[in-house]
Amino acid sequence: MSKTVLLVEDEPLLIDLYEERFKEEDFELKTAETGEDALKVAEQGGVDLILLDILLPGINGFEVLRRLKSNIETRDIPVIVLTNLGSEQSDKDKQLALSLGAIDYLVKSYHTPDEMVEIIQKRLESNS
Amino acid sequence: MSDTRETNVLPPWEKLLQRLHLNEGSLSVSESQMLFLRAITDLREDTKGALAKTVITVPRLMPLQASFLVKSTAEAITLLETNLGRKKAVGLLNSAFLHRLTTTKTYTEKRLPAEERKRQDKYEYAICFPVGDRATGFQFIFLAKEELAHNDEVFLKLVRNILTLRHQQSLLREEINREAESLTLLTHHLSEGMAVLNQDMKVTLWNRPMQRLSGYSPREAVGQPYQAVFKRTDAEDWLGQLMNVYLETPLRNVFNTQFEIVTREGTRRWVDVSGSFMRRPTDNTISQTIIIVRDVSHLKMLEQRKNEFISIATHELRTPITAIKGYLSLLHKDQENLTDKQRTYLGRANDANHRLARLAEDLLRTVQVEEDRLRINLRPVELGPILEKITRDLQEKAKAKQLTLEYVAAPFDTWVTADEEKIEQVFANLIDNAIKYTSQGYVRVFTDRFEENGQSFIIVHVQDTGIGINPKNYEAIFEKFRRTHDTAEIRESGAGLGLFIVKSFVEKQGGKISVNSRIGNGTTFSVRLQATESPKPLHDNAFHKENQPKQKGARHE
Repeated sequence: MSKTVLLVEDEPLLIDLYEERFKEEDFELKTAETGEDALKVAEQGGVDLILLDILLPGINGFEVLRRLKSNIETRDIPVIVLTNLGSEQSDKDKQLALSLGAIDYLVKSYHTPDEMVEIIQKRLESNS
Repeated sequence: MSDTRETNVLPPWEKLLQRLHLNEGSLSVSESQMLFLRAITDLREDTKGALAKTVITVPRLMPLQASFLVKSTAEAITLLETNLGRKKAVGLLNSAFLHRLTTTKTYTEKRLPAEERKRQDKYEYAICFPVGDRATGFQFIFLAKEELAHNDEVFLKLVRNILTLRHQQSLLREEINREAESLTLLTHHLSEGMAVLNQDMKVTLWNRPMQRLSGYSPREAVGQPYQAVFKRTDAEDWLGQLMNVYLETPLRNVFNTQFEIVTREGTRRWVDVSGSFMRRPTDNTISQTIIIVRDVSHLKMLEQRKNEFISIATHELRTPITAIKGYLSLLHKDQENLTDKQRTYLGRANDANHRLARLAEDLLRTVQVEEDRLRINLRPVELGPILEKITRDLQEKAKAKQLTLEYVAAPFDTWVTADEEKIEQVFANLIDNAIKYTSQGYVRVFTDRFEENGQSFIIVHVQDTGIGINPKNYEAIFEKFRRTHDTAEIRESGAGLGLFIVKSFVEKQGGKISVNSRIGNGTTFSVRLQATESPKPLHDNAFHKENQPKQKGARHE
């Protein structure tokens, strides 16, 4: 059964890029452009991994993360924060994300889509 | 200013004897004479130097045993009259000291009873000095005729000497007090706030500008612990903590820092505080602290706005950088379908985007460094184990490029005053850079020690056999944003800090960084730090070290 990855991203430039690259892979990609949408999609079930941006219209990524983790339906879905905020070294944003239950904190501009695929695949494998 | 006063107090008895070329054994004076001499010598405990002490000599013999404490001038007069007779008493009261204290009292002729008059004949000397801060009382000591039996000469000479010294001393003190007053007055007219604290960190001087800054007037502040009138928002006893650090490094006295305070009215304001610890020459302990305070709220606000702007702008920049990087990487995967020319263009576009990305990261880190500035925590740090760890951690990276990476252990103590975390970042970065810019040969880390103007320094050299740096760029490489990038130098941007940040960290820790290089002949970066004593016995430190890294790592990651 193919896995589903939910990309929470409001920047069309990047949605296009990731869709372009991810369509070659064997997982299904869903996108949500706001935090509220993301929560709805996650609640419907069937999401295996969430890539979550922080700066979003409406509620921000930290709040989305908090709500995901406090909902019994969604709290077990692994969340990777994928943002252009902060840094992957010691950073208060990263610490906040990890303390809220994210499994990783990645800065978008540091990684090519290929590297992202690798990270996603590794994560999906370790979950199954 | 209590210190200046203290040093002008008549030396204690033993020192005084030395000054008079005498020792106690050679003095053939009676016990009560000795007591008398000591009494007129060691007066400072009673009087705190608040008022000049005055000694009255009475031209007749008197008993030491008669020692009186009187509470008013009237009582003093009565005492003198009873003991010396009215005539002598009036003579005395006209002397400089009592004169200014007896402006209202008038004397009436009074016949003394016969037995009183008899006692008068017994006295020869008396001293009188004020007791308490504002002379709330007067102490009189009388010396009897019998006490001066056979060795009048020595004794009288001593008394005269002591009295002369006391007189000179009181003149000096008055002058000092006058000067201190005019100095204090001067400080009120400075544009900056200025405060002086004593060894207990209590305020002894507080100028008017300090009132504008803190809300507390000089009258309210003097005598208070500094934290009570100069409240830092994020730390209680910051100066005490700073002092503890400086006590471990006896050669450093000057500090500069910026923080936010809350005024008496509850307003918050940013201040720049420069200060200096004054030490006692005898044991290097800190006797006074002087601070100069400047209001930098406006500058701080501008700086914060600038930082916010840079921070937001850079985060915005990262989005198109991500997209360009992404699409270029997709194109790159597809390169069999490209012509040679297109592949070259692709490579160049990629390089340019790399550069853009690096610039954005540098900008962000610059802002971070500026925000981190206050968080430097100086204490004794042992460099050896840190350098060893970094070279161990980077060994693999060096091997991948077939480079030798070695740390030459220092044959001496490597304790310096630094911030452990930041100094580690500095060397990790320098060594990482050295590996990055070296394609064959070695990277060697070694240490040196030297003395200058009585201060000890440790120098760490990071030497490589890489491409080298043009001497005319020595200054430029440390600048905030390097304008000139030699294309040959462009490599992976990595997560390392720029040299500007390395330099800034080194300088914030009181160190210096320099570079020596020749194009094609390798580069040596040298970091000079102030050496310090190892704070604890060595085995203790080994234990301490073993327990540290875990906690530190957790903070880092």
